[in-house]
Amino acid sequence: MSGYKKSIGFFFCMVVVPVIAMAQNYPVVSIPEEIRKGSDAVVRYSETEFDYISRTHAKQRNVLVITVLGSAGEHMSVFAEHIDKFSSLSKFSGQIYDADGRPVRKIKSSELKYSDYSGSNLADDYRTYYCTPSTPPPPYSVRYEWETATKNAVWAFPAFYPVPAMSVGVEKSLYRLKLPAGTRFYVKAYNLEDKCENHSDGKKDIYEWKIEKHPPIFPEVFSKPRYELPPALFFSPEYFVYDGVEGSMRDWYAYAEWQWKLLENRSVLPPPLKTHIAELTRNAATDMEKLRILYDYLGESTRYVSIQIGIGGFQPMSVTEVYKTKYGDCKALTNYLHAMLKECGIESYYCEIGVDRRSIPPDFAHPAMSNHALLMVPVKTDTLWVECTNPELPLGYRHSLIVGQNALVYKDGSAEIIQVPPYPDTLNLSVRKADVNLAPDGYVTARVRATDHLHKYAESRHFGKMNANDRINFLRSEVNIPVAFISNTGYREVRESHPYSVLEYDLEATGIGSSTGSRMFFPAMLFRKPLSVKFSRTYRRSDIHVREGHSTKDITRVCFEGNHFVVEAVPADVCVESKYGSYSMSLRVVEDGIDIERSFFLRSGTYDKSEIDEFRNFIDSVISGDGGKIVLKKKQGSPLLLFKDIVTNFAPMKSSRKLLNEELGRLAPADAINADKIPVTVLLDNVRSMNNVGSFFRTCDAFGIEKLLLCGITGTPPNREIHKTALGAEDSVVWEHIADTVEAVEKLQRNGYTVITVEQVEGAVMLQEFVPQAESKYALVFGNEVDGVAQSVVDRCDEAIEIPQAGSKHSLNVSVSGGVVLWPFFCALRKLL
Amino acid sequence: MALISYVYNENRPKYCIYLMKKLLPLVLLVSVAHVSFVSAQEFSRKFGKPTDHELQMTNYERDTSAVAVYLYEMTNVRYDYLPGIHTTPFKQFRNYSVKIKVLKPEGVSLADVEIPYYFTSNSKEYVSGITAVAYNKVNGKTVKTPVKSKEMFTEQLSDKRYVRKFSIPEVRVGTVIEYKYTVTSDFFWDIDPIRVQHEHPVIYSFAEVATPQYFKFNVNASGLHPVVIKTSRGNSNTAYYDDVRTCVALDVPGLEDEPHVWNVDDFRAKVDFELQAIDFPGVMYKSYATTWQSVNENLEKSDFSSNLKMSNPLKEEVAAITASETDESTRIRSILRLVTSRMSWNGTYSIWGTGIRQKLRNGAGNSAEINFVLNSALRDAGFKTTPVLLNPHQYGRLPYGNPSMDNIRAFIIRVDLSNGRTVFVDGTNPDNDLNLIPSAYMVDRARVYGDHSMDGWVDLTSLSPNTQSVILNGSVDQDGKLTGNMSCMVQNTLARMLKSSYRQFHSEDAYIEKLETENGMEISSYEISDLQEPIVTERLEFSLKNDESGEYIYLKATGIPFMTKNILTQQERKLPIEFSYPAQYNLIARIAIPEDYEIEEVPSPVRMSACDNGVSYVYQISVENRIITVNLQYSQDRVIFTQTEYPDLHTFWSLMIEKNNSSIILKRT
Repeated sequence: MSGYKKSIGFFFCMVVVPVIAMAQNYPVVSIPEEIRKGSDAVVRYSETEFDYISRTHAKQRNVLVITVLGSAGEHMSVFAEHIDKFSSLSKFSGQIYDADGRPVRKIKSSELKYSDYSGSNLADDYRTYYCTPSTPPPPYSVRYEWETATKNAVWAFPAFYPVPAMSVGVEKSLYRLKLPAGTRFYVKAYNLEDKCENHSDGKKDIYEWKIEKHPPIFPEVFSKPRYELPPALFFSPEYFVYDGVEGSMRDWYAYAEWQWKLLENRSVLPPPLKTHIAELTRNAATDMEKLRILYDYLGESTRYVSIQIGIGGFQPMSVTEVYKTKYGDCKALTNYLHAMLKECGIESYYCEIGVDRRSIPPDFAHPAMSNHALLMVPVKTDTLWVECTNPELPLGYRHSLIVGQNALVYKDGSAEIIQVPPYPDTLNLSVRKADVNLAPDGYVTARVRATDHLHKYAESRHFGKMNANDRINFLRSEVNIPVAFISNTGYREVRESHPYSVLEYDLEATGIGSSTGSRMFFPAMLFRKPLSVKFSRTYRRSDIHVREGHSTKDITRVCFEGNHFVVEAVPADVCVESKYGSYSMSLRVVEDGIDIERSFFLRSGTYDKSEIDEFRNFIDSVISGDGGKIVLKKKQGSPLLLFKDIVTNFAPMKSSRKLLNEELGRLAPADAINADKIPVTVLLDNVRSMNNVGSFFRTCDAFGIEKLLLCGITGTPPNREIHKTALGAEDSVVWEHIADTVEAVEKLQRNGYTVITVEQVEGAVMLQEFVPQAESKYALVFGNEVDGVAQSVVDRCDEAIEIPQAGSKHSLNVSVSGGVVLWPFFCALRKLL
Repeated sequence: MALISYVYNENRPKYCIYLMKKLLPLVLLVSVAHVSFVSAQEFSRKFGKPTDHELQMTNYERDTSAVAVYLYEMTNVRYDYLPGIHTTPFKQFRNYSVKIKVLKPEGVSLADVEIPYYFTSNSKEYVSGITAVAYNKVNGKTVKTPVKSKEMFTEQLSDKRYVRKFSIPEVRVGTVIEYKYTVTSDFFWDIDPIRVQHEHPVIYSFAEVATPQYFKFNVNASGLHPVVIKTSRGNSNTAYYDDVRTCVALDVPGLEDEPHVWNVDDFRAKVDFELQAIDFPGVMYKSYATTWQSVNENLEKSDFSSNLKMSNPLKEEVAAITASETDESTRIRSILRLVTSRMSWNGTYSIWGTGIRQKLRNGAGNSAEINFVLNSALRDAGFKTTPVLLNPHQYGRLPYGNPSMDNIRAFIIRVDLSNGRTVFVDGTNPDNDLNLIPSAYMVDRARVYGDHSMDGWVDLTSLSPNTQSVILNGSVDQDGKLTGNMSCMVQNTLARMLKSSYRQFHSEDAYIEKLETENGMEISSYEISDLQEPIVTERLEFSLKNDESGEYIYLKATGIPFMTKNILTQQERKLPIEFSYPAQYNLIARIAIPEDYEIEEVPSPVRMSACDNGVSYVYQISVENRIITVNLQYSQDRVIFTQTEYPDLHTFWSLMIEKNNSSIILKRT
């Protein structure tokens, strides 16, 4: 902490002349190369002068000149100034320059727009002036000059952010504070030397900071979050007045003293709530039970609505208000739970914390350092940190936005800083276990089980919220098997203080990877995305930072059904231990399959950028281990039924002269289900063989049959055997399973179908003599391979058809007879289409 | 500083001032249209009467994943004649009421309500009569919690747009939310579309729109879910009668956006009302654009037409171009370059321009202002030009019928060449060229200005070929390392994408690093051709490691990774698939194999097509003199595929990706 007093550094005759007076040119060519390189835009000159008139009044003057170099930097030409009910925009002007620095035009005040839209907040006190000027094609420059005035509330001086965004270089930026002589204040510097020039003219102390020739900052992999990269200076006055409430920003204790005043009397419980709490907790034996009951009650009865009104958005809604509306922001809900616990005699502490920003520094108090509230509850063996705005998070789980951050914990009229303890990296565990069966023809079936703990659990939670379709599509994008069909997804969460989730699903695919001839290639990482990191090989500017450590394990067993494959090649095992973590990938070929085990542990920590090569080597070995491929070779025997073969079957290139250009459009699911159909339904009565069922699908697809009814024991998709003969036609034919064939026949008849059995029965019409009628709807019944159509079913049918035969066998194969019988129907009825 | 964007639409129609003067003398009486609803036992359609079934239901059977369901949604639009005291004699009243069941935690956000409205000095909208209630079952009793007026807020979004906001209290899983309000509007010529379908399913949707007989509205239902519209005549006890339309839809499924959809609104069930004419018999008749002929005629009368005739503000520059360039195409290109270098697009689509010369001096303008300048420059250079009207992808398609001038977002310019051909140009992107327009402009339905007939439609989806051609020559060594050179030529849209991707990087080194990581290769030399040209060629020398094991080398057949990811990730598809542009990708790889190796297996050749040749693929492989040649061609000629074509398209892509990923097996001799 540094405090500046009047007595130091008194320069004689130094006059601070406003630099603004002179109109300057800003030709692009004058930007030094080291700043221009890599910049989307450059701050040519920035000046902020904050004139602290009194504890309640201040004026701020700003000049900002930006050169936009390319379209990616165009956002920097936008002006935006946020004001609140204590501040106002008193002056504004703007000017646009061309690439040579010549003035193009002035920005009119009518281009300045105003909005009080509060976005995701229901209501707040903030307003925005903004201007999106029309600009010529880049490069060009924009110069803004504006002033704001503050009344009745100056509790912090504006911060100095000389580098306003990523990929923006800075030529010169300066910040000037003018304070009544002798005013004490505090400074906190980040990524910047806190070096200033100061002098006094007797009435005012003047301090000036500046930064010159700062190259652009880029986000890099494994670096600290963006908000920690740029230089910044924060200032707090020793004393302040905010909306009539006086306070001191000397340190966090002083700040807490002020905040206590705002919290006072906000936690009086209305009588009905008291009664309700008593009822709820009547049977609870321990404090932990009571806490759990009240946490659940909070989650069930309230919801989070952001309302930033009241003293700087710092005073929570009272318990009474929350009880009435059942909503509130983080402060209100935290205060609400705090009050309810107090009612039960349980001690808890209201905390402030910074999320998505730097952790609260213990040695410097500033109101913008915290932006969230939560509750600390000491219970017997443990201290729970309770997030009150998200009831879906299990009680006691410290989510990733708060762990490792310092919290300002209010205790008995004062406060202390306590770090929300992070979890050990090893507990952020993610496990994938999979059993894969590889059939002789290459068809894959797998059952996968994914277990995710703590922060990995938090990442997996969005899966639980997806609908069935989105789940399938998400898993398809996660696995490294092409054209996987996902089914039977199950997801559950174990919502303990160390929560975890279990996700299970089935997967089927016609191939496990790619194939060439008798060989199949598939990745060692089948069920998790391999690690992919893009390091720059030429430069590294920021230190290495791993915010969250974790441990992942992948255990995959691929079993060769019938032992039809030999493993021709596996990647060499990888095993790395380093200070950054550890990694191992091992592949063990066993008699009828292959066992793949991967384990990756990444340790959280911050390392100097000089270690980048060592760190990258570690990550590179993970990437290379994850990228390993396995090669299988088919033992002698039938060829693989892989996509390749399906293609070859469908669209072979016979010779270069004439090419069989079969259209997949007809073979695959086709215009399919919605396409025009002939009014014929096919009913299979207890057909045993899946291959026959598959053949019927293919035949029905070919002839545009409107529906296939699968009755009794007849198998249904999804089924591998059916798929083998149907070749995907099961997706293009409408089908239904009906247990009772007789019931199915009766239903068809009620719906106006003429039901015809294909069977050798008395009075059957020979197929060649049967003429399908254009206005009729037909249902054709085919029976079991051995027993034919059951007599009870034959009795219900309207007609019978027999296929004339001249051979020695009793009958045709059922699927063949299907093809034979459907052909004349197709010929006669397709004219209707 | 941050870029600020807002959700609400800026435009409101702006005619009818003249009309109001004509109307004032009329004295008319009005009665409120009365509506009665059938109430079912399970669901009530009366406000304030939630049923036990509604309060107790835990899921919505038709869609068990729904986080919330609209039990009903009702809109009632009617008009009152109120002369004298108001600036406009006719007022529109829009009564809206909705009842929503919250089924899952994500559904509680439906209790955060925003009602946007417009407020200008001439015409105003007011939101009134807000009643919002949450119903919960507590200990078997129905507890009702209303929103109080002090819990409602008003915010100003811009000079004329406002929003009324509130959050309904006591909302959790299981809560039934119900609210209603009335918007009173001076914008009587403008009826907001009745959106029948939402992100969440709707059990019962009802709208009644009663318009005075003098206002002739055209009613148009669209979307994938049917809406039943009935027309009748209302209130006969006044001096005029109302035309009443009731729009009913039942069990409307939730509408989810999907990848590769231009604008999901194109498929949303909704009913649009377009004012066709105002007809006071014997007093006045005024027609509003409802056919393309009348749109053309109205544009002809507007400043759209005068802007098309403006004199060339870049006279000298164009004169210099016409003096030096004789070839028509080169002339057009030079003029296009001239205009795009002088004016940048401000991000706004429009067909209207104001102060165009000043905008040119400022160096920026909306899409129309740039093209007006371009148009005048082309005309000055002696070309015959015609604007072509369109809506960019994200705004949905231009309608075949009932078009409205206000819903046309942009235009480009058609230039007639002396050989009878035409080219299309647009100035919003400096990388545009002849027949190379922004991807968002590549629509299947654009409209030639001035052509009233069906021939006026023009398809802009495939104006120019978008091709990538890769030629790779290399040799593989005993360790499986492929070393070689490669040229990659991209054209038109693909070139424009490469340019913008290249420029995103802060240096060429960073871009090369990206190429290296993406393709798993090392690049030893790299060069890229002139980024000003519509064809860009990258040439590079590279090396890349293939897998090898024992006596085998598994050589990636395409040399480098080429189209290895399936872009179609969905297992099922509900909406049509709309790609941004057609494209063709070719690769020829010639790879020499090492001395002491022979080829054991190669991938089989394939030729296939699907979806009526909408996509086609050829994969050929041949070996000669120990050099393997792989020739691969993928071409996507169509941009729009129906949802029923999805399974085919998906299978096609899967087969292709599998093939692209396949390897050649080399064995040591």
